[in-house]
Amino acid sequence: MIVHDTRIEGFDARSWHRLVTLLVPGAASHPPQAWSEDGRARRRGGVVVVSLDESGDGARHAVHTARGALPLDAWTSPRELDAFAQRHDARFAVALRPGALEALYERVGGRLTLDDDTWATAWVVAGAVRELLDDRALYLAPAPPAGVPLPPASALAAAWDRALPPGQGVVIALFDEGRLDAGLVAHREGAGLTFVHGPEVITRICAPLRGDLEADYRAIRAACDAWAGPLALGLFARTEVLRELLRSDTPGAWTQAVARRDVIFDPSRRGWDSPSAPTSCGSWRRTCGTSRRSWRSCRPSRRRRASSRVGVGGRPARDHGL
Amino acid sequence: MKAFLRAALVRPATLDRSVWPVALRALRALRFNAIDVPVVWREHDRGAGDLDFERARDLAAFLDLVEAEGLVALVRLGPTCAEEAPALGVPDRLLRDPSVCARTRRGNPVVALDGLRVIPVPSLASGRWREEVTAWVKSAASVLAPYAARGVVRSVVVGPSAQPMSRDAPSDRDHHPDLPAAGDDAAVARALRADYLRLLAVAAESGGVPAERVVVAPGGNPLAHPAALDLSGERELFLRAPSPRWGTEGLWRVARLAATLPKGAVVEVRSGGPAFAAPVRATHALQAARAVLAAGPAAVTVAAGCVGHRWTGALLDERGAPRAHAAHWGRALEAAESWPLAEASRERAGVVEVDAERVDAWWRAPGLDALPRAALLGGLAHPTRAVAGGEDGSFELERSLQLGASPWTLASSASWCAPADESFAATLDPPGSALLRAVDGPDGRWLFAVSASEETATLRTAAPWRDEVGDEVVELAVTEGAVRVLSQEARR
Repeated sequence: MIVHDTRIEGFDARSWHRLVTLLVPGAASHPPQAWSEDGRARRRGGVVVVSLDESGDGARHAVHTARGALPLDAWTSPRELDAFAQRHDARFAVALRPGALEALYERVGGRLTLDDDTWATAWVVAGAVRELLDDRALYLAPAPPAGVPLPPASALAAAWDRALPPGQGVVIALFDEGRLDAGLVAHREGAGLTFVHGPEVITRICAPLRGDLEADYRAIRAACDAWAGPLALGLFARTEVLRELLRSDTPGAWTQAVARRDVIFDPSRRGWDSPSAPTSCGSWRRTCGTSRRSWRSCRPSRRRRASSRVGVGGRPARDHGL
Repeated sequence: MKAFLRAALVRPATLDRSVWPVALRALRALRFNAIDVPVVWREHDRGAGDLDFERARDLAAFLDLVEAEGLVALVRLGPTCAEEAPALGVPDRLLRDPSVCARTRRGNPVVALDGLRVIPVPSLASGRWREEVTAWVKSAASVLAPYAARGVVRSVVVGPSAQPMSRDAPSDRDHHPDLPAAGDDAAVARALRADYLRLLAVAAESGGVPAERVVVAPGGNPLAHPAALDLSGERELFLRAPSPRWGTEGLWRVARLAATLPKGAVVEVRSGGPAFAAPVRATHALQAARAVLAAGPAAVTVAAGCVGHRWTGALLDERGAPRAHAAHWGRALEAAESWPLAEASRERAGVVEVDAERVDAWWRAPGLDALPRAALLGGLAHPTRAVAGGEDGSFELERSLQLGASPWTLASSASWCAPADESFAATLDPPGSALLRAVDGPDGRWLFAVSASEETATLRTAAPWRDEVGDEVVELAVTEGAVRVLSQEARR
């Protein structure tokens, strides 16, 4: 978790772009000419933002973050927002009734303080969004599962402790054509990361690399262990292999990659190196997709949950009349 | 020809002191002639009235080094002058004070994103905030005054040169009790913003900085905040070019504005970005910088040249060594030295005026009023035409800007042929106010022009450098890689 005093160093534009877009492909950089009329029409992804009218069914304006304004002739209702987003090749969509954004900011601003950490912030914001969804002031596509309680902030913090305990570090090194392509070495002390260092630092603290994943990962692991250690997790792979795996929902893909040593975990958190853990990655993605579709099909019969009015993070939900 | 300012941002407070001279020498070798120094308030604040300008925060020692290297400095005092600085660069003691925070309609704090948390945004109307920020600017300016007198400090920038990601700008929809009248009145918000910026400028002057060296940063898109242009006749402005991902229109808009404002403007272009912003490839950032340089503004600053942490893709690494893409920036700056500035155009343009009623009407258009204004046009800087859509009103915001007597528009045919090579050249044609660009495409060399008038908006040609502009044949000359439209006199 990056906090306000986390030092982020050693990334040039290329290595940072490679690392971020590995996890968030939609954040990929575009050249200025991509916004031309032709380029804009071809661009996929992005987000559709729809401004609804007072009735909550009609749309007054729609903007695609990658293409600009959209025609509304295909608009039917916010319940078909998913179809509208797919029609315009958007990754997801947001529809807002008048005042919804103000209501969100009212609730977030009224419930958070400067001392709240990232987990508390995420918890409060997610709770406020849930309330607006229940009020039909806000629609999201794909729709988040309704009726599933939000995990408490303490559970999120515990999961973070489990993934990277305080005083330990993590290294991710990705190779392309035999050289270090992207990666990071991070160390945690207290609640957040003390530093996140990029390939420039990894290259500096390591002995010269040979261009061989099997040999180089040992050198990087040893150097990073001394730099940010003890390490809790090390992940070494070729960039394209990891990119494929992150987008694959084929059960067993991770297991095969680990078995072939295309992906190397060293060290790994207890249980991460067992065959079942990587296997479950693909299964988990598939399960999530199936669940989401199931929830979506159940949405029309969904009842408003009274629990959303209880509030989040132990803070009372305020009825702002919005 | 007036030598223009080419600055690179360096954050001395986040670098080891031993890196300072290394970074300055490296940037000078890249053909920068100035250093952009953000002075982040919270890094110097030790309590009310107690400021720390020692050790890594020794601003005077850094400026001595700048002078020794034969460079000049452009110093940003903010508040909120470095995007990667936590909490908008404002001391926590102020953000914790309820009397300082901007208020929503229901009295809750107006918040902005700060990495993975949200923080309250100070109200421009708050009496306490105004007192504190005035004291900060005055104190910091007093450190800069001797250097400004010697010419080492070329400009002192006051105002938010970095924009917080929030629902609206701090002055919009603020319901702080110190506001004199209805808080959501657009006219009040506009006047408040202009008044606040004037207050900061006067504070810098009272600290000893000459008035002509004080630059005002309005923050965000100047068209989204017309109050900024109220000041354009009084002060030099600091504008930020939008990210290249939002296309050429936004870039041209800011660059042309900077080249034509009566008092001039400093334009910030990007190399890299803070960790929580969408990443930008080095080549795309360079393309955007070339577009801005081609418009001919007198002062361009690159964020960032060398930053200690929380910024990725700076020209230099944290030890002051040039990164691989820095050499390309050096070549682009070298090429830009041969391009003419937009001096003639600026002199001809006179005062830039904004039709406030048109701007307000645009914002009240059905549907747009529900969208996040600052996010769409402040932080993300969408081309307004793309956001509004359609013909009716599509150019409305741009049309509201009057440049002299003629409407200032962007050529609808303007596009960009990726200048992946170094042969890209551009020049400004003062007689026609046409920005001409030459690029080598797959099917030969093409020229494009962006003009101040629609009659000469489209210019397209290929070898042997002759083509038509409307009915007029223009002869083109190629000199050392730069393509110039010959003036009427030269043609005869």
